[in-house]
Amino acid sequence: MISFAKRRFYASATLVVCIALAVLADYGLRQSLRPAAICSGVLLFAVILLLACFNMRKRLTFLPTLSASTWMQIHVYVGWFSIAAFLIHAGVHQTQGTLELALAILFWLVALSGVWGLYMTRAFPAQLRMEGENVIFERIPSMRARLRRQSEEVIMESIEKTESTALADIYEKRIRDFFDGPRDILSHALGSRKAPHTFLAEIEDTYRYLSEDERAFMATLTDHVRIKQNLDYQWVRQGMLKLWLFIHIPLTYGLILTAAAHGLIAWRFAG
Amino acid sequence: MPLTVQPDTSGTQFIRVNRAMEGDEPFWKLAATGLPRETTEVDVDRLLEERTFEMILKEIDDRISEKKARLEKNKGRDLNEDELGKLEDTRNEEVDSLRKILLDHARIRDFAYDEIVVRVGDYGSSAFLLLTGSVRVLQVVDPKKLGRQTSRRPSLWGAFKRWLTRPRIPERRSRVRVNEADLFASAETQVEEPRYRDELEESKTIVRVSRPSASRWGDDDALSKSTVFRQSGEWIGEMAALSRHPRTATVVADHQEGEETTLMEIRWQGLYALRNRWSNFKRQIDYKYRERGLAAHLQTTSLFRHVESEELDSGRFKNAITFQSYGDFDWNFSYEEIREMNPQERLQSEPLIAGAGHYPNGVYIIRAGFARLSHSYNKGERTISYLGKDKVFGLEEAFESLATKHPVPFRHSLRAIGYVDVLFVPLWIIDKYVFQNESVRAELESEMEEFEVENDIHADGLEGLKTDFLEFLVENRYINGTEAMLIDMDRCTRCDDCVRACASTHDNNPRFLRHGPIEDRFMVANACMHCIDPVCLIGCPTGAIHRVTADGRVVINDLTCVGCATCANNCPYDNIRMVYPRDASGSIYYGEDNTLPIQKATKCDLCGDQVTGPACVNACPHDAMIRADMMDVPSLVDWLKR
Repeated sequence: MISFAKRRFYASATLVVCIALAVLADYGLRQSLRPAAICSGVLLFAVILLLACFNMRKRLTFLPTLSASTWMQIHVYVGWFSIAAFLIHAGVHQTQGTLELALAILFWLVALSGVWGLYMTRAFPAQLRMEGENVIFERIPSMRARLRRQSEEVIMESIEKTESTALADIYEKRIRDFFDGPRDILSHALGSRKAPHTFLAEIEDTYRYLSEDERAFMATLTDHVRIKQNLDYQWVRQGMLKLWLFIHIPLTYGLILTAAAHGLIAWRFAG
Repeated sequence: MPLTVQPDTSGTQFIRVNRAMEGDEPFWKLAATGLPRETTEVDVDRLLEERTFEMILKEIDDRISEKKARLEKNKGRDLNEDELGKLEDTRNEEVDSLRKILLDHARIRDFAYDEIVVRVGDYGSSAFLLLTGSVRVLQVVDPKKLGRQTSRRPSLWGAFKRWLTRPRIPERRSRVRVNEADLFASAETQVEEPRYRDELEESKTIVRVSRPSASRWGDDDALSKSTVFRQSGEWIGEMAALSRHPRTATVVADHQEGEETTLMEIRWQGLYALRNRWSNFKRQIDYKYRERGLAAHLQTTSLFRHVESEELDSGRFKNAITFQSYGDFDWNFSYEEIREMNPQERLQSEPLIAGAGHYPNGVYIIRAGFARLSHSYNKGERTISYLGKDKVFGLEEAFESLATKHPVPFRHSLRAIGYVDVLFVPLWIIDKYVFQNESVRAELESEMEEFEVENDIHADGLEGLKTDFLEFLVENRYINGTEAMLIDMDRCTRCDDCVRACASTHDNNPRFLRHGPIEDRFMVANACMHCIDPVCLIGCPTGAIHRVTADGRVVINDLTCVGCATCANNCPYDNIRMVYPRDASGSIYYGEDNTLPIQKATKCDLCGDQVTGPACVNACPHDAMIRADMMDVPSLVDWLKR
């Protein structure tokens, strides 16, 4: 079995060779006064179509057309190549006209969302594993609701056993909202631990005002808060892993349509 | 999915199914076909006249006589009437326990001419004793005649059509049982629903409908390579039942016209009870194994591959090798309990086959099951490797002992994980047939691993697996898997493409859960592992769950599954799910005999009907998943260390 490092090396080397060949071909075409822009445009459009095929392949699971992981590798490296092809085709100069501008913006949005997606798919899984218990995304809302119910049961039990409402008051004022839905979304998205730590510190500060019996209940509640923070983390991070495709894929379709329109216009008005 | 039991609607179909009884019911109540025939005291009286049981009765009498002689010797006089009465009571208790075993675990079955008694490849949970008539043992039978799927190349068009027409309703079935009409219909009439075709073909035999036909088994090779047993008292399928090996031959009833073949079928629980209680019976069964299977089995091992079969078949050779069993045959039932134990307790629960420091007078060959190879580390035991079928333990020490003429102790301990059958081969056989054969010795020495393990728990084990991961695989008995689903959680983006792919190739019903225990960064997901020792197959009343002979997959025939959940309860890994089939309108099917909905067992079938192979692995874009054979450690290590 080929190691990831070796595979990365071979694929990167192939990518560099392909880019070099494309640059040389474009240079040759320009030098020989051939329609280099049309050639590079067709190449770029073909590359974009190939990249879009990956999504179709994922749906047609019964087709014996290479594994999805092979397609993914092709997608990643052809994606990098498409950036080079775009630069060869459009150059780095300012675009002309609204359509070209829209096309350039769409291309860069698709490319950047792809690069961001690649980063997330490589970096997030390990972070998710190390952060806490792995949970299935779709089950998180029900787990959250169950945790809230259990926390309220702890409060009710504390009132019954300690004959004091101190814990219930703290819960009502500071914690109840926390269990209502996902919290610290931005912190979790950015990977910052500041907000969750601050919240836990606030809860721990309340221990000094509680009796020994109440502290035992509060400890259970603190555990629930920690579990909920992991659920929020998992929800935000797994949500990001799912959400970026909802940006990347529609933008790709928009890009294909705009590029097709651009191609038609270029073909119609080509000298 | 929550079950909503719907009221009777026009779309609801009523299907009568025979539900399996609880395991503690007498065996006769679990009728293989038709109405159950009770095992009565009269039947037991008849069985006790068989030579097998006469030998047990003789052993009981011998024990009593010995006890009587001992007592008389101790007392220095003859026993009085009271004392003799007590001895008689003891004898009666023993006989009663024998009778109870037979009443609870045996049943009498009549077979029509040519009816299948056992089929090659089946995982037997019972053995048969011939009472009257005769049986034919067929070594060669066309798999199609047995109703088994042959290795058929799935068609792309078929896979596409199935994908295109996948129903929106979960667990939709247009039929949930085999009708009589289906069984006798010609192939053409079944084509209306191609996806049931294979299962119907299988069902014809699985439901064991007796249709005598003189030419059924053949005018071909089959008859020429068959053996006929006519003598009553002949055992059939006993080793498969004891060791959970697949049946090695097909046996059909083969009597003269006007006669009937009658056999006693005893389930493995009874067989074990007899074997453990009475040494005469154990000797008898072990003798049968030596007679029928030992030579053939040894010839498949690396140690004796080169030895002529006549030599292996010789009495001197066969009698020297002993057959030993360790551990709990029902390990799947104690699995959860053992998982909860701490490592020390768990180790104590594993019977020691050979201990480090013991001086060997032979080597052990694993015949079935798994064993843990470990050595002591501080106050615990560090697992170094696990051994499966045909692996040899103690060969290096045996070679050293023979070379130096001084006994060399075992360096490691060998413990039974779950249930293990071993063959103990004495040192003189190793010396004569292996050590003195230079080419074989050289070959084996080059194959032998260097048992020098770094005394560091963080170091890799012998096979290159990290110790903690190795312990995890062994302790959870995932080593049983030939297609275990491992997910690298550092690469898995939780996109569920694998689950969606599985669902889309199974009529929109996923057949696994992307969930399971995680060790290091690897998850063993809840997907059928197509185990080496498939305990799920034990006790299936209709044989609906079976191993495909062609490729080793464990599959369920949906049409013959009666939804008894025996397989789901047996599976220690919780990889079989019971579902409620629905018709096209979404209504749940109900049994005609009661108001309970019909259930079906479902699990991963490894996408046997897909051109692509397992859709889950094929659909993972991040190289996060593998279906791993746990016995192929080098490939596993390659994947883990990519």
